[in-house]
Amino acid sequence: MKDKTNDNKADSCLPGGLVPTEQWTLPQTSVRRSLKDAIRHALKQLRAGVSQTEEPFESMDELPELSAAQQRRLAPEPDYSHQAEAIACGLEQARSEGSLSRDVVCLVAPPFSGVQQALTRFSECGQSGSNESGKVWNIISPPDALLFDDQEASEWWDKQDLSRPWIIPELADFWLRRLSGLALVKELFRRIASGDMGAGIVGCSSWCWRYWGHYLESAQMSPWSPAPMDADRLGVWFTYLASGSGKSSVIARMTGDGLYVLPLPETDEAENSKSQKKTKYSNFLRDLAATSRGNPGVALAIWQRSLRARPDDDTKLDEAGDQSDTQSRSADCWVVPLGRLSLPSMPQSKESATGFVLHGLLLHNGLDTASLAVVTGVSAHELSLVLSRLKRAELVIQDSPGSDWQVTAIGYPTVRRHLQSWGFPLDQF
Amino acid sequence: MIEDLGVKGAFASITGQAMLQALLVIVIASLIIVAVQKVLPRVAEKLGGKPRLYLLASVPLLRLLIILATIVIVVPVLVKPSFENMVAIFGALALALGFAFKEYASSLIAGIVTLYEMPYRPGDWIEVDGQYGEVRAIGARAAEIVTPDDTVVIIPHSKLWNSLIANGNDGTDNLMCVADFHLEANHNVSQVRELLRDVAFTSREQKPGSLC
Repeated sequence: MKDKTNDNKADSCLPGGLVPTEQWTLPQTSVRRSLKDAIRHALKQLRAGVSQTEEPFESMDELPELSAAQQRRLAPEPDYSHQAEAIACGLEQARSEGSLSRDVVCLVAPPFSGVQQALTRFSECGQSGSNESGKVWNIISPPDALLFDDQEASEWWDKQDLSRPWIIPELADFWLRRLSGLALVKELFRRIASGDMGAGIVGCSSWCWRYWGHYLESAQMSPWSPAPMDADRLGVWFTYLASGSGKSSVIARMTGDGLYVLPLPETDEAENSKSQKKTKYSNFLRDLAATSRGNPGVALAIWQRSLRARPDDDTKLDEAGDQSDTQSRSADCWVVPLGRLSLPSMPQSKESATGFVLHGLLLHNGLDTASLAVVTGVSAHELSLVLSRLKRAELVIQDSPGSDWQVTAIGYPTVRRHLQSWGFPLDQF
Repeated sequence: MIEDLGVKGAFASITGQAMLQALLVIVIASLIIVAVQKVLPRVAEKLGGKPRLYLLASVPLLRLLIILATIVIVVPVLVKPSFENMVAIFGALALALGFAFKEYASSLIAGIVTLYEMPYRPGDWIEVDGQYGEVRAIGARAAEIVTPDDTVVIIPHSKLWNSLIANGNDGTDNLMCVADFHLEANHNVSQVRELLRDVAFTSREQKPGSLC
């Protein structure tokens, strides 16, 4: 019974489980939606040329956005400990089925998938049982400075405790795209290939993986990835996030036509035939899955921005949030159509520095200003101008002065699309 | 001789009003061509990737279509479109072009062929007869390239018939850069190869998969 409960939880917080990366497919969308997106993208580019103002995320409706408390209640950030358990279950299942036999597993996921955060919590949430030896996982943290020669890189890896299973939450933290910044990762892959690393898990951003996949053409790592979030999986996941203890339900309907987004249609045929006559469902989740390219973090960011509450619902929802989690309750919220949400726009710029900066940030899964200047070759002065413009446009964010710059989840679709049109190599997700 | 061809007869019916109408059509067509040549490249600048390349390549094609449409409209306005008149006009034109504007006509025809075969498009880096540069514009008779030292070179399309045209990126946004370097005689070949590979991979301009 306990196993079944855990399986259900794993299914909900990591819908679709883990799949070999080559089996990952983009969620389907309608031709109409694709054409609409392409035209919107072209018009935005043209409009950006006419008006030079930065356009961050914008909603074109009158309804009030959710308060922080309502957002925590209806669309909270995921608990990565649960995701870590789901990943452990997925790996264990793959091993038991014989589809995974390597000692070192590479988990490749697009940015904002939460794999890095989950792997960081792997040892905290009692995953010791998931490896055969029963030992606690050792998280390998990157060194402060990443510039090494081959000899120094070898010595650094010698110092790491590889006697017990290890985890690298994000490989992108172990290298810099410059001549002396590649040694650590090269040495890691050399050791993995020669079987010197023991059992471990390497988490890697899809952009970083794409780079190293080309650099080490002969390395066949057979990576695994979280399954893409299609409409059904997004529905399951959003319901799971909002349900807390699992005893509440969320009813989300479109603001325009009142069609249902959540709860999902019943899968039971008898129930389905009865309820479907009464209930009409929206294509919002299918469009959201396509817009976010099956990326849960991006989908959640857009979902959070698309939820609305009627003014008189504010107090009800806040009260519901204060109630005990054990009480069964339901909460209504409204969803703005994707067509009425404007994702952040790329500021118009003739300089190519913008592309280099954004590509550098994605390759390294975030960088501080000094490292970004080293990697992109853009001068500190120009870099500060580019970063401030991108920040105003809500495409990049820096949590605190001096910390790493990151691409925002809500800005990621715009950034990826522009990097594609500028001819930069993209990840496969 | 012109009389023998019947050209005089063909133009005998031209009135002042017809001339004005034809002139108006030509002026409007010229304005549209100028607008196309000015606006489309500007719009293309705002777009990235393939839409930009397609839009730039469509400029000479649109101009050709506008010119053809103008001819189709203007000729019936000026002369009665009978078989004899057409033979007379085009015969005279062929004669004049054949003798006086042979090279010009050759370039014009080659210009039409370039629109179809696309040996170069705006944005391509090409080399023709030792001149290397980026194609800035494609006209009816010639293409304009800008060399790395910022010199504009006009290359007649007729070069297409008898010259080798080298195209560095051929309509894509990938352009290979070649750099010469020198090594000492007793160098370690594999070490140098590895180092050069790392240099290429750590270049911000490098695209994975584009290395030889």
